[in-house]
Amino acid sequence: MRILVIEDDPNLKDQIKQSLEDSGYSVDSANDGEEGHFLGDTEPYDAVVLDLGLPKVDGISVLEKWRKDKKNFPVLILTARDQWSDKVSGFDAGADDYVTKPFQMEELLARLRALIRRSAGHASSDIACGPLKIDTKSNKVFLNGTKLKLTSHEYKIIEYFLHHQEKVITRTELVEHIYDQDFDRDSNTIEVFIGRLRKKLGMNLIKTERGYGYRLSVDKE
Amino acid sequence: MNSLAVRLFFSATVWIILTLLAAGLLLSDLNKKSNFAAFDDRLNLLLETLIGASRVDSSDSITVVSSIGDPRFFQPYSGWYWQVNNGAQTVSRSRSMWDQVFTSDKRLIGGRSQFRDSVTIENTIDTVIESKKLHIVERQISFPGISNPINFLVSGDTKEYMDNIKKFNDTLLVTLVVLGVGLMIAVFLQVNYGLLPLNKIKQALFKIRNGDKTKLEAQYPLEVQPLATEINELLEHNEKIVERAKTHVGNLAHVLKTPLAVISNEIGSNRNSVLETQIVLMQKHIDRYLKKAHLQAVGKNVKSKIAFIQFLKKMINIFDKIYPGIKIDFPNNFKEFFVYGSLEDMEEVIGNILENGCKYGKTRIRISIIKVSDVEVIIQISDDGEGLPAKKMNEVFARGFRLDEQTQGTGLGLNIVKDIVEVYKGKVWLEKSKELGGLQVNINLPISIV
Repeated sequence: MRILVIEDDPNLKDQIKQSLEDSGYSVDSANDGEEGHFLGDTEPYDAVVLDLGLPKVDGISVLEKWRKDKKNFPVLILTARDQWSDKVSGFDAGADDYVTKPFQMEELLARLRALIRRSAGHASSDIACGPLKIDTKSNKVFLNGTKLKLTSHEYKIIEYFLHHQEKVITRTELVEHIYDQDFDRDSNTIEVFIGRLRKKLGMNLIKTERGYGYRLSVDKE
Repeated sequence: MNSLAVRLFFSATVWIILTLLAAGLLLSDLNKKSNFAAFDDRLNLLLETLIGASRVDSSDSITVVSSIGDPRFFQPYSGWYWQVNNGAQTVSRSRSMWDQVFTSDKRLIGGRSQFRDSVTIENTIDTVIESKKLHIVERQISFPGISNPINFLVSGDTKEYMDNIKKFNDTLLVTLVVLGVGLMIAVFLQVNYGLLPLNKIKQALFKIRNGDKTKLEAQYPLEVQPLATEINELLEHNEKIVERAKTHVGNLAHVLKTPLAVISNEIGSNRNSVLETQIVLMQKHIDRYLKKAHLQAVGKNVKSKIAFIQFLKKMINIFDKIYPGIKIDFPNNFKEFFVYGSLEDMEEVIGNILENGCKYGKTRIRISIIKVSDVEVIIQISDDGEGLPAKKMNEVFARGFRLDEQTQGTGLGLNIVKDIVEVYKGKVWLEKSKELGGLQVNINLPISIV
């Protein structure tokens, strides 16, 4: 899952970035509205954390522009203003949730997790696909109730698959959603990860759709 | 006298009455004088005819050889008399005088009646057989051969011109009254027409207050336009001040809370540290003063007519997003009504109540609206949470009260709701929800006339 954080305070931005990365997300960040808008406009993010008080272009305008251009990724707004009118204008612009500053990082993470889950159409924090189950709260993956040992990249891939079950996912899409912008991307490594994952899952859960990509699904009997 | 219309009407009326009165008196007087002069001329003519018809006879006395032609001089007591005197002795007189003579002091004395007469018409004649006012002219002529000057006297009944004068005065009075009423109607119409722009401003201001308009838009006459312009500028100025203050407050919130968030995150999970306590304290203080600043602006924000049902639906949509686990029931059968106020204030009220409901409720919130009258509604928002013990219900309105220290918030929510609603001359009270068992917040709110 790839997240964009737009926050003008460098310390807070780094803290959020760090926390998100620790939780298994790939994170890009921007300091101002202009750069933030550009990133959101050009890269496929799974969610955005957007501060409303930004230099150059304010958060509301950035959000409005995205929504006008049919960018539908979930957006969590950060606002220092406690008034409902500010929150309402955020929602009017197309926000999906809000967190008021100062906040506990756990709360931000929980909200973001719920947001990504909801946008993929899952109600619970546990997402399952046949014998495979993921707890997005604790970043743990279970197969038939047994916890799997996964590297962070493997986790990112399996999480993305679970959020998009039964959907054909191209290699490029996987690359775009599990690596941040600065990462040296090589789509061949994806094949390596998929191979390792298939071994760990031990079953034909990840299917290859020749010429297209991969699909996570359970064989129906 | 506190009304411009009354002032204008009253002063114009006084002026009209005074002018008409003066004109009436003047015209009446002129008419009276002209009638009087004409009558006087006629009597003088008759007098001169009488003198011309008089001859000194052989006994050195005066004889009136031919009578004056007017038949009234032959009609007894007609008031039309003539008399010729040689000193105190009456030489000759008209038939109409019958058995009476004019004495030297112009009294008409006879066997049965006594008149006082006068040359002037104002004096009345007392007791008479036929009450008459006489107009008398007399002249003394010296004849050769007669030692004393001979006194010629002719009188006429003033009734003739007094009737004319009265008729004229009656007509004049009626005319002036009609004219006066006409003028007053004209003044009334003029005042109303003249004050029309002010009435227009009054209506426009009502519309502004009612939320239909934000400024005075129409063109007003030269004299009133500066007032309209001033009002518009004042409205705009107020709006700007509030806007600027809000921006400052917002900026202050941003610059204080962002570093606070950084510090708080830096401490991490070490929740019991002194730093953590201080951060919470700082946050509380900032929130408190921000809310205070916000409350100062309540009622002063840009106002408009808020379509309330539509607004509620928008707020519900937002909460459906934030709290997907809570179902908000809002039956679709309420007729739209309007609240005149600032959208921000209403967002604060409904936002805070719904947020409380979502935090403390389990699965459901229900909103219903009771229309009390054409000018007020009661909005009921209930949840299925634990509710509140009756004695706590008043405490939640106290500043800074928190029901649950675990849930984020400053505890200022319901207190702010109450403050705002009271600015709008409404009421807020709590009760136990009969349907859902949790807390029910009731807001009585005045609504706008459509």
